[in-house]
Amino acid sequence: MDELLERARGEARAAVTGTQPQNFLNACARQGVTLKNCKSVSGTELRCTVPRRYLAAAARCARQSQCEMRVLSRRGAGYAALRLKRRHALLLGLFTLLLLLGAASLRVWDIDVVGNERVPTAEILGALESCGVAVGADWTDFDADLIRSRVLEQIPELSFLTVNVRGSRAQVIVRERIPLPALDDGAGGGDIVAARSGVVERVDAFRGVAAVRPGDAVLAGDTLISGRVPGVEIWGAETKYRDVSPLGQVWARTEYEFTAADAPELRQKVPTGRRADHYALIFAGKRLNFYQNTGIYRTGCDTIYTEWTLGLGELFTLPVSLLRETQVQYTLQRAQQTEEETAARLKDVLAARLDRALSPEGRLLSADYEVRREDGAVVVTLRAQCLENIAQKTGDRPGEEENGT
Amino acid sequence: MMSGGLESTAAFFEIPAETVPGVSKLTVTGGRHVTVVNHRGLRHFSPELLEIDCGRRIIRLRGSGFELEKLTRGELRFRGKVLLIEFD
Repeated sequence: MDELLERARGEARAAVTGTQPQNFLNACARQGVTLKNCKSVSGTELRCTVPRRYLAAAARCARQSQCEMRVLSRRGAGYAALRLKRRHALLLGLFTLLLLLGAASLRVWDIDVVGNERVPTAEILGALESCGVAVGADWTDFDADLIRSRVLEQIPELSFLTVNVRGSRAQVIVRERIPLPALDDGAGGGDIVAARSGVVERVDAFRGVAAVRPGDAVLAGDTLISGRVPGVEIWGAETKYRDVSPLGQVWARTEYEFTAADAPELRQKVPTGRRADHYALIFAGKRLNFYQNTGIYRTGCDTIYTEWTLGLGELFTLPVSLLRETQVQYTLQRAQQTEEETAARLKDVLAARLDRALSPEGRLLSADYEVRREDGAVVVTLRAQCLENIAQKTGDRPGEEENGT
Repeated sequence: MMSGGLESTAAFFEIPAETVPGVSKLTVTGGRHVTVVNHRGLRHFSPELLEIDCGRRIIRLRGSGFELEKLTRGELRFRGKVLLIEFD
């Protein structure tokens, strides 16, 4: 701690020359002058660090020891303050900057919306702006209850909203209303049909009549669970049938076959070595470009954006940021691939296609890849066997009465 | 490195030498850091040789890269590779 304080006060690096430099060290020790990092440069010269408060005493010790001391460099806050003392314009600038920072910290320069999934952030920001919560607004005027009630009135999909201001950042936390599920009273009609062809493994008919049994082979479109159930006698009147909204799951073993082909080569980006940096200043959402053309390379380049925002971490952010737009030019070159590499690439493509085609709760039972060459191209065929729910609800029966008697 | 009557008195009463005031104490840590307490000054200082005046005795340290980390009235601390320590 003392060491840090000493450094903050200021230190000087000094060179002491004389016939007996160690006499200077002994004189300093006798006078209580603390020296640090002494290094003997030659038999007649040594260099040491002298704390600012001992500098005058060290110079006296040097004279007493018939040595010459000269200061090589000075460092530390003490010396920096001394240098600033003479620069009135700089001090005034610093003072003005501090005043500006203080004034800017009372305003919101960054609004972050969290907790929304279905309601777009832009819609929430628009509603907030109509309540006075916008970039550049004075956060001391915010009334959390008023903002909440107004925004919830404008966006009924939200159930909760709160605005937390930390420094010049406003964090808006929202909770979305959970939509009520549609009521299913069982009335209606239609059937559950097969979405894909397959061999039925299990039938769970919760409502309706199962039209298939485990082991049956079905084609896409075949009825699996019928919504037309046998009638019952009610008050002496017997109905032949009645239509209900069928509900259930039918698990079946299904098969997929996908084929992909490609030449055994790959187009890859090769940097040409040319790159260009463009800078822009963004002040309160307004962009000021420091360049005229939007880009030197119209095609064949990657653009990398780097943004530096002026501020102090999470404490506060100023509405000023510097944007660097780096354009790196590249050319597309063909690179030869081995058959194995091409096959592996195509297998990944086919696996992704199968993943998209399979229903979310379905699972893969087995997958078999066949690789062959056709006209110079690598052809890969995927044959997969899966277990999935193939039940698909159809609409009401057209042209029929709701309940025939 | 006790001096004069203090040496014999401390030895007679089996008192630890470092508790006796004014007694020099040399501590070498890891062969690279040396601290001398209650020294009387430096007689020679170069990157290869250090001669420390401890009153009745002179401690001579030979090595390489000697740099004085701190020098105060009572304490002398330096770093460097210590190869040999001699007492005169």
